[in-house]
Amino acid sequence: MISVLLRRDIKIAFRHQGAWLNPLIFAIMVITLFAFGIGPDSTILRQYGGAILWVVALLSIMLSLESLFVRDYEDGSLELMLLSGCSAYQIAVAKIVTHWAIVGLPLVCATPLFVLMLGLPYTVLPQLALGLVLGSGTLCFLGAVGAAVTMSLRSGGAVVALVVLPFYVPVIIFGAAYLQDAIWVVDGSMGPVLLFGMLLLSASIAPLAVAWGIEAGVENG
Amino acid sequence: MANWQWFHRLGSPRWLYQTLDRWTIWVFLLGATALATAFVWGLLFTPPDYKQGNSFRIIYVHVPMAVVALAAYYMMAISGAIGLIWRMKVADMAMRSIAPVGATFTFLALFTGAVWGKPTWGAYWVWQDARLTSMLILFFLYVGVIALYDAFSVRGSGNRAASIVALVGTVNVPIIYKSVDWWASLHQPASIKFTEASTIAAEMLWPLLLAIVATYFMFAAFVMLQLRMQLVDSEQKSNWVADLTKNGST
Repeated sequence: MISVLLRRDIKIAFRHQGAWLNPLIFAIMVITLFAFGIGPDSTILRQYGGAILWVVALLSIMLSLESLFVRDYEDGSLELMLLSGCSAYQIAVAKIVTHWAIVGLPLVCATPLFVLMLGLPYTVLPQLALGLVLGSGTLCFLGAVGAAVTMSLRSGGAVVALVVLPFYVPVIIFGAAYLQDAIWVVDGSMGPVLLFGMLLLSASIAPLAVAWGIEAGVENG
Repeated sequence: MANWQWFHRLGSPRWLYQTLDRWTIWVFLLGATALATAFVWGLLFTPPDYKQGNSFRIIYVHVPMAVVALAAYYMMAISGAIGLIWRMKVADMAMRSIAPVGATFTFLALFTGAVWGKPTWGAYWVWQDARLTSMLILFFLYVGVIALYDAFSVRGSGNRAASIVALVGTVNVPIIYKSVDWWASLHQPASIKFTEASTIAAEMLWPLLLAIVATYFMFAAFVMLQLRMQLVDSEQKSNWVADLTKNGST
C-alpha cells in the first residue's frame, strides 16, 4: 500500500515542477540575499556560511510544508485514501518520505552550488551532504506534525512556522556545529551521530502524531 | 473501593464551575499569604549573598516562576493527552487554561532573569547561559500551542491539534534542553561562572522553597480563573450559563 502512495506522490511532484523546484530556488535566492546583506567580503561569508546554509535549508523545508497535506485534504483524496483501506500511519509515512525526496534531496544535491556561493572549502562537501541528509530528514518528520495539524486551516502557514520552529532548534545546533567543525577542520562535535539519533527519534514519533493529525483533520472536515 | 464520584463529576461543567467558584478565592488567598511570607522572609531576614550582595534576592521571584513554568508545560501536555485519548472536554479546557498562564510565567521568569543578569553578568541577556536560552525556547513552545488553538474557529479541532503538538513537545523538550545546554557549554567562555541552587545556604533555601510552593498555589488560582472562563465560553448555549448571566448564580 505504501508503495502505491509513494508512486502517486512522486508522479504528482514531477507533473508540478514547482513542487521540487520552488524550495530549491528559494534556498538559492536567500543565500544570494545573505551575500548582498553581508557584503562581498568572502572571509565573513565563509565564517558564517555554516549557519546561513542551515538556516536557509530549514526555512526552505518549513515553507514547503504548507503544501504537504493541504491539496489532498481539500480535494478529498486524503479521505478516499483512508476509506480505501490505507491506515493514517501509512499515509503519514508515505507523505513524509516523498516530501523529503521532493524537497530535502534536491537541497542535498545542490550542496556543491551552496558551497561555491558561500565560498566554503570544497573539502567540507561530504560532511555537509551527510549532515543535510540526516538533518533534512529530521526537519521533514518534525515539520510534518505541524503541517498535519493545520491542514484544515485556510491560512496555516504562519501558524506552522510558530509551531514547528522551536522543535527545529536541536537540528540547527547540531547541524551547523558539525559543518562549522568541518570548515575549521577540528573534530569537536559528535555531529553525525547526534543528527542520526535525532532522525531515528523523530522518525519513530512523528508519523504517529501525523497520523493523529490526519484523522483529526479528516474527521473535522 | 475508592470513591470515584469526584472524577465522574469532572464531566459536568456546571458542577465544576460551582466548585471552582467556591475554591478559587481560597487557593488564591493561601498562595498570596504564603508568597508574602516567603518574600518578607527572603527579603528582610536572610543575609545578603557574599558575592552578589542584595541583588541575589530576586531569586525568590525568579526561580519559583521558572520551576512552575516548566512543570506547567507538562501539565498542559498531559491535560491535552487526556482530552485527546478519552475525549474529556474538561481536560481540553484545562489545557487551554494552563497554556496562557504557563506562557506568562515563562515570560516573567525570562524578565526577572534579565533583571537579575544585569547586576550579576553586566548584561540583560547572555546567550552563554543555557537556562536562559532554553526558557526562551519554552516560551516559543507555549506561543506555538496558543497560536495553534487560536487559529481554529471550531474549538474541538483546535483542541486536538494543540494536544498533538503539546504531546510531541513533551518528547522534544528534554532534547531541546540538552542540545541548548551542549551548545552553550561549547561556546562558554571561562569568565562567566555562576553557581546557585545546589550550593545555596540553608537560611536562603527555606524561604525559596516556601516561595516555590506559594507560586504553585498562585499558578493554580490563575488556572482556575481561566478554567472558569473556558467553562462559560464553551457552554454558552446551556441553561446554567444563561442563568448565570441573568441572575449571577447557577
